Amino acid sequence: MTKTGRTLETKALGKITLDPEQLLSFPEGLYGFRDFHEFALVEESAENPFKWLQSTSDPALAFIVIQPELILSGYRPEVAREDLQSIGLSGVDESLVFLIVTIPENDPESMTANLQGPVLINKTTKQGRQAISMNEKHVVRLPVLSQVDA
Amino acid sequence: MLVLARKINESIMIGDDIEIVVVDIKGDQIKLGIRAPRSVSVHRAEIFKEIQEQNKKAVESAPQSLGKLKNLLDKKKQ
Repeated sequence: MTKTGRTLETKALGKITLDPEQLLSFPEGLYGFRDFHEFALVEESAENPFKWLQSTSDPALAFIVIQPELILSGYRPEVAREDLQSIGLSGVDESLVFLIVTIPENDPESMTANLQGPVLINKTTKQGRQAISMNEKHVVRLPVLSQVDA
Repeated sequence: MLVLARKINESIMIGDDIEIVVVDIKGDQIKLGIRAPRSVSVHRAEIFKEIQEQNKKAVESAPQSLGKLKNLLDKKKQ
């Protein structure tokens, strides 16, 4: 079987054709989901800043993520070198950063983003890791919409 | 579990480069100082648990469509 033309069963979009470029390997999984090592970054539309981080082994396992610069300025996670080195990075600035978004049931306006547990991605090796920011101001539940100023 | 009694300013070593010092004791709260290489991540145990719980909530709560979220964000930015 070749990798091209691989399809993926997703939580939100049903079956999609997967571009190998979308695949990310998470050697250590994510917190609470240690046994899931491969995810795909899936867009609903190119212009939507929210994306899915979809497990390739469990269609029900999908996170909504957003790049921090789209909702707040000046966020830079302070993570241990071990977090960076494990996915081949020497600095946080080399990484692509995503925040995991939580949507309270029936109240999407109160959605929050997790600044304390950012997902770091090495764009070259396509490896990812959920790190922990040591900056005490980086809270687990930052209300997203109250950050966005008109 | 290894249990050691320590007084203020006494410390323990973990391996040869991680030192944990008892800095202060007040009532039921102990202040610890941790000397470790920058490569080692040091966090309060609750943080791991909190991020685990938040990840689980994030998965459970994720709606079926991202379009509505984009609209909310766009409306706010206008």
